[in-house]
Amino acid sequence: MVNVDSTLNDLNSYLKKPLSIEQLRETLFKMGFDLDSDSDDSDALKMDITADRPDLISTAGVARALNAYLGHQKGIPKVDVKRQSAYQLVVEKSVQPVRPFTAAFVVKNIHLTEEMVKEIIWVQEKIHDTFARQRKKAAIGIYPLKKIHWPIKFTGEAPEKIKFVPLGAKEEMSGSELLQKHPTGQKYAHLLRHHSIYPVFRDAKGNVLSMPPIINSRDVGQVALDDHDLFVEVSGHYWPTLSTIADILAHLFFDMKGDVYSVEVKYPDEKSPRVTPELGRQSFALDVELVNNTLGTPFTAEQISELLSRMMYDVPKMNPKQLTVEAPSFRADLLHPLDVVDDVARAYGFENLKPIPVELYTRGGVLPQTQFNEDVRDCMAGLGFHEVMTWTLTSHEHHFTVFEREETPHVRLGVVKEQGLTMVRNMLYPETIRALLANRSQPQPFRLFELDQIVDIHEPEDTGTKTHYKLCMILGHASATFDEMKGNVDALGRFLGSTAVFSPVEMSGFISGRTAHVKMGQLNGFAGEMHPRVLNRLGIPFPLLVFECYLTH
Amino acid sequence: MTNLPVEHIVLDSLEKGKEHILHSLVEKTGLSSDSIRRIVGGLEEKGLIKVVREKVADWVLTQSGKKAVQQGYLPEEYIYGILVTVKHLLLEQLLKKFTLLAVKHGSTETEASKEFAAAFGLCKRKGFIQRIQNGGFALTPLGEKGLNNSSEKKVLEAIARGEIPPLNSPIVSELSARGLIAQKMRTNEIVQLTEKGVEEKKRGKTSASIQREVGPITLSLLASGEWKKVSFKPYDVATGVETRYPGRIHPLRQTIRDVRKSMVELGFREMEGPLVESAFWNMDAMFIPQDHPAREVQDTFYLPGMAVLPDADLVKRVKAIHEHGGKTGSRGFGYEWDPKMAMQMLLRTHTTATTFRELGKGLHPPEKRFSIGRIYRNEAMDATHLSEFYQVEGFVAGKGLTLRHLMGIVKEFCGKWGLTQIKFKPTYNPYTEPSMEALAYHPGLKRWVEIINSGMFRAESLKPFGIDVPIIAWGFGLERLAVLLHQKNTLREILGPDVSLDFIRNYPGITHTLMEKGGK
Repeated sequence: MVNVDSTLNDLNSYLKKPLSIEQLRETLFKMGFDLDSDSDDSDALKMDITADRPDLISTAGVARALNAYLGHQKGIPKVDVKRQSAYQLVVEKSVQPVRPFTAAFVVKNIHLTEEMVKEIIWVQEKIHDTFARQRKKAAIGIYPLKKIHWPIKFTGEAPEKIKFVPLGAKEEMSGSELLQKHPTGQKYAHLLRHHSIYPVFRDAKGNVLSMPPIINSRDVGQVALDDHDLFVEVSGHYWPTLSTIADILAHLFFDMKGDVYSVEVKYPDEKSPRVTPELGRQSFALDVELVNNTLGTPFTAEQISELLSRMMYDVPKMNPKQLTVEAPSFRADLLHPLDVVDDVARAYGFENLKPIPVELYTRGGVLPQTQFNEDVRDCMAGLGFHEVMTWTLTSHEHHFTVFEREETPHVRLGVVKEQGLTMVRNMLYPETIRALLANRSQPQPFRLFELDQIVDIHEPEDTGTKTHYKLCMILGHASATFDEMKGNVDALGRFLGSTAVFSPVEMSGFISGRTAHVKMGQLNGFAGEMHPRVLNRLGIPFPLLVFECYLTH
Repeated sequence: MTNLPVEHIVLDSLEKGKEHILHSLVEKTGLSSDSIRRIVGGLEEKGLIKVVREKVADWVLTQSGKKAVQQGYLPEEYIYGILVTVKHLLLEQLLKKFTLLAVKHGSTETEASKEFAAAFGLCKRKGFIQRIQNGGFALTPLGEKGLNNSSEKKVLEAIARGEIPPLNSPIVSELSARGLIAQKMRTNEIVQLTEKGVEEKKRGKTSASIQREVGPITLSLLASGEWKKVSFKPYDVATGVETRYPGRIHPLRQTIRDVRKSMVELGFREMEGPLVESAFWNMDAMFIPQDHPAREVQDTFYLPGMAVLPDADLVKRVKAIHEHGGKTGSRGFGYEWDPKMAMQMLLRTHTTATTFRELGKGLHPPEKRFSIGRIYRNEAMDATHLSEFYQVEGFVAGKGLTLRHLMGIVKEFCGKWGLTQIKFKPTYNPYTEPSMEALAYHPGLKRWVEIINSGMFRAESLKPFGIDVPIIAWGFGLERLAVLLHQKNTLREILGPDVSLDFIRNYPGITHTLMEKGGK
């Protein structure tokens, strides 16, 4: 989800017909978005947009969609693009290895207010963080037009050769210095660091406009309130994404009442320049049957066409069986005709679709392992034990060292956000005991059990691991003895229809002579009395008996 | 004078002119010793009996004495046992062997050395052992005879049996000096009827309404038929007693059972999958693009190592579909699909990975399947965020399924939990289209809550598996439901080692719907 912060006044200034907060909430809900209520300031809006709609990351963008949805501005939203031959941008071969593409356009006669400037900067950052994947896929640069001498060059140069005063600094820096000293440079250094050449926009006089994806030049690249003409570029590695973002921005500035002028972008191996913003249309062949079979509706082609017009689609052609639909270029989420079907449903209103029961006959059931597990749980409860559920993720320190266990094969974790987690458990009792430790002050006796999964290393599996179910029993109280534990294990054995066979075994962390390997039919496990060294380390003041066995073969 | 029935029972048990030890009345009357004391005190006050109290000293066994009787050995007999076999030993060796034996029989080392000192001294004094030429000690002929079946042992055993030894016996003094017996002072209470008591007793016998009152019923009371002649002491039935805790299933596990039951009742068959997954099954197979934010370390627990990809043809189809849509009618993502990314290993982030593994095993529609399992998010844990939690997921595969059927099955499931007011909202999932959120009106909280996420699996994810029927799927995090059902505030109160044992021991065992609960 992406937050769009705005005000009701602002939004209404873009709407053909103003809305109240409640009407807005209702309409956003039907469209598939949310309005968080802000009770203090009745004018402030927090709108939640889903991650698949970068075109809605602005007040103007949401207004655009609302105007269509409410029927005031149906079809593909228009942008008048003017042309001026002077606006040329040359992409040189030198930049292609490091940042091959750029799309650009010019905005003129825009009347900027403080709110608009704030919104433009906010939109730029939000798109950077979400759709552009932290500037990895694309980066946006916005500059005042007046200081730029055309044509603009997009080249790749040695980092030391690129020298300019970046935004937010007082002194000139080289490309490499920028990555080391400037905060924005440090944040995005990883995107350029491994290259020997850095990209740079220079105007005809050789002045640096910016070094994408890092930062603009302070002299040429800072937009002020009295600027009414702007240059906008989007650079990156993947043309479709750049073009989409350029289109989104073109719509934004157009809706802000600026005049949009295209820029010719000349690529080294291409005969004719690409004219941006492209504002192309995506075409789909939509079968009426597909719509009705998916939604369970009886729509005609006309009805579908009407519904789609409220979702910003044009329908240039249709017959009773199929529609040819066109969607705006900023709908990057449309990959398959079914994506269009989803829009038909949203326009119609999900609340208008009546649920129908599924009438397929199938037999329900649980897995044999599940039934077995539940039976064992019932037996344990019958023996007076209480079930605990602990974490499967733990630390080596706790899972092995504290209990004096030798490290046995286990799954290690990679990078984690939660401190102290380093592995997935391959045994239950060190984790089950955590429940006892956390509940030390509760009345004794402690008769705890856990029946859940652990992960073992097992090469033949595709992941090299196998998830198993295990049972663990813990007895802890002033007069707990091995015999008491053995009695419970025997009872479990009988419940499972076999005899528990105990044979002496040595296990580190357990008292020698009071530990046994246990075999119950096909299931293997152990039982033992915890060594006072471990009890002492854990601060447990009474004897502790442990039993653990596999519940899968 | 009015007397209580119990007082008459005691009076009846006393014979005129005879002295009775107070303690013997317990057995005679069947009343508890506390009751007897109370009643005797009362009778004494009324002048019906007189009580003479004298202090008496009894000989009783000490711990060491009890041990000796239990084992059947006195410490000097160890010395006999050692020397009869080895013939002669130096003092240190004798002490060492003695200590070993004593410890084996349950003494500590300190106790053993004390016992040795006493036993050795005794043996020397009585001439049972002597020093020999090489400096060691050996049994004397007297010792060989005398250390077997000593008179000390006989007296000790007699005292153990409760017999009173003869006064001023030297053996008793010896045993006392050795710390095997000790004197215990006791107050002997002798009860006797007074003249007045004899009168009362006579009078009481004519009263027909006497009935003995009995507390806990004994086996002999039942067997003897005495129960016919007694009345039963009323208990205070409202009084508090010691708390008992029946063994319990974990409250979250109970919720899991209830959810499982709901699913089975709707005709769903359970499935399960591993906790450790490959990115292929967790993401690629369901058409989540390789550059999707959810794939980053931000949200996912990646593990070192590489998984093995499944069937090469399947992988080829998935690759084609990601890159340009393959034969699905989609335009794909337009990037180059990297098999290495699909081979990354991780802890599954949703049970949908398991669903797709099942699809990989072959589907025979119509099918309804479900799973309840642990999933992982690489998040820092706080009151509302857990690194691992449970998810429930179900899908229906069959010809002719539509979005309205999905709404239908979601509604039906919610209805089982008392949530009958449901509304649907469009939403976005990378692997379903259309996607919906179901919100339910919670009667207790008096507001709409997001309950279930659902959608129709994208054609791009089904085609590689050769599935040509629609699959509608839905799921939810289990903890949300559990928090509402068990009236808790945070997830950590429901799952994990910090969950209060008090809660596990005491949560109400009756399953209920949210509607019935009414409360929070």
